[in-house]
Amino acid sequence: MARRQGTIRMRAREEGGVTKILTLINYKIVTGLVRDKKTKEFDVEKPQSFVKTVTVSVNDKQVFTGNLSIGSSSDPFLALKVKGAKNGDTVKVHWVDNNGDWDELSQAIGA
Amino acid sequence: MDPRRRHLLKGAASLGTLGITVGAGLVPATALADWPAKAFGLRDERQAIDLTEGEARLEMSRVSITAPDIAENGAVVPVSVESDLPNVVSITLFAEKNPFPLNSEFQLGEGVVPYVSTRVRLAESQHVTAVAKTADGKLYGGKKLIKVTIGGCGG
Repeated sequence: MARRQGTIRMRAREEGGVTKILTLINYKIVTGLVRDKKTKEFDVEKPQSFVKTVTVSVNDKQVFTGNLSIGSSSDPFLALKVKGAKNGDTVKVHWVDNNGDWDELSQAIGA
Repeated sequence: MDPRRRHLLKGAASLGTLGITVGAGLVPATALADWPAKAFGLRDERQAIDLTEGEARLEMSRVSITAPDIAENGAVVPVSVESDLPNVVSITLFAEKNPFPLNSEFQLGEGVVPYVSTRVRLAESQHVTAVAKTADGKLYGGKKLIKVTIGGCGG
């Protein structure tokens, strides 16, 4: 349930009325599907850990929700395009994982 | 007992705690788009599509997937989805031969271009399907075969 600091890297650039937002979350995903080589049992020492939901807001208005799963790569990457935003508008990225850990980052477009 | 079940149970428990954080106002209320635990737990792609998208007819057109033909490492496969459809409200990715076929679901709000790019994990060579849902409930899909040299289920 703790906040993890500094896990998000974001880049937002406006070009021709369309803003492309790139985000990278520093997060090691554990699928929980690895079997012990000897016993063939699932390794309970490595419980599942994955980013569950990523939301993106522009000027405090939520525009994008991504529901992810253990099927996402470690360090989940997302890119999306938003119309109508301009340089200087604030983009906020927020994520929460399956254990309730979270982080968020706000950054201006073009910054 | 299958320890995976314990993970699923744990997952259900953490969903509950998520609800509490929202109630406590730590997470903005709008961030609460219920994570569809049931659909993410399904083992069959067809069922997962039916459950997430409803059983409307899926038309395989107007959605394109950009991804490598051959992915050397299944743990990190870049996949981009794009569509020329107007009013797309969601884009959902399925990987048919993964242990859990529903991969990720993206809900697009107003002003968001029907485009999303991400990196997925593929257990083996398979078709990846993207389904775009429009505001009037119609479903359009695109499919791409991705060959995987090393599977990405570990980790």
